[in-house]
Amino acid sequence: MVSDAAHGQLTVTLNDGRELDARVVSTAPERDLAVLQAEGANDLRPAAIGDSRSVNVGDQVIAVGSPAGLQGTVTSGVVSALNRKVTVSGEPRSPYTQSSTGETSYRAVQTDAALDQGNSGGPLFNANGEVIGINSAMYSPSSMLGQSSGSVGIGFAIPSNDAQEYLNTVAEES
Amino acid sequence: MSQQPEVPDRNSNASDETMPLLLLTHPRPEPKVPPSGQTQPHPNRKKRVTAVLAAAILTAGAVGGVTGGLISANVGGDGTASESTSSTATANPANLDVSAVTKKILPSVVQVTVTMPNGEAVGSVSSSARTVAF
Repeated sequence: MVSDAAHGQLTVTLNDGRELDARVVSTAPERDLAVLQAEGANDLRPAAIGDSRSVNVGDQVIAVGSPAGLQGTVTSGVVSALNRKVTVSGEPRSPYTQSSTGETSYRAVQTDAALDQGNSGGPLFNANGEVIGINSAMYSPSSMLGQSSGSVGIGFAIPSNDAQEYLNTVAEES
Repeated sequence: MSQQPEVPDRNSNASDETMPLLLLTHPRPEPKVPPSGQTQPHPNRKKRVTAVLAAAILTAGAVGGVTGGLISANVGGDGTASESTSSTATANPANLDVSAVTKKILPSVVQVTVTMPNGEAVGSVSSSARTVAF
């Protein structure tokens, strides 16, 4: 979706139903992250960012996203594993991809909270309501056959500390 | 938009086997859900029936597990249940108030739709002041 964002028209739909145009401020395909700015947004409620280094296996987590386009879908589970190396290829349209192989790699938080297509970029919260990850990928046994089997309880999120580090970099540059 | 990458799992304790992963971008428009009580033909009805059956089997297994725990507690003979019978790990133990946390976090989550000549992609983001990241 990061590469898509660089080429498409962006619309942000707030939780209260308002729709705003948005623009890309920065993209980091090598991290599978981007920063957007919603135009005319003046009363957003920022999410609290947690420390992903303090997350433990077994911690309870809540994911929010738009699986199948269904906005505001909440699922829950636990942290299944930490520091899981995820390497994703398949952002061929992105002109920003820095790896010569087109791969994006990161150390992910693994969770059994149900994630599906449409959860991309959605937050993974801890029990205190702090963002400890950004949902990014899921294991799909049948995806090699060109189909998605839906959630099988193996999802991955980019640690919030990685996202915070990126946000800090963007803030310094702008 | 919906890539189907293969992701090698190189966890320190795992082998280097290739794992098929999907990115979580949703490539299709929002599905039309029929009003309650209204049936709609579904092309994958057979698969849906299978899924329902699988869920029923899992539910039965869970009930069986609880029943087993109660029986074990009664075998003790003193009328009290030992702690070990209720120590089964669950993904959502009662001490997480999902509803309360959800009330707090939902206003901070927005949906991002990317419209391109060849279709749409949908994701979600958490807002941070005037910027959102995904």
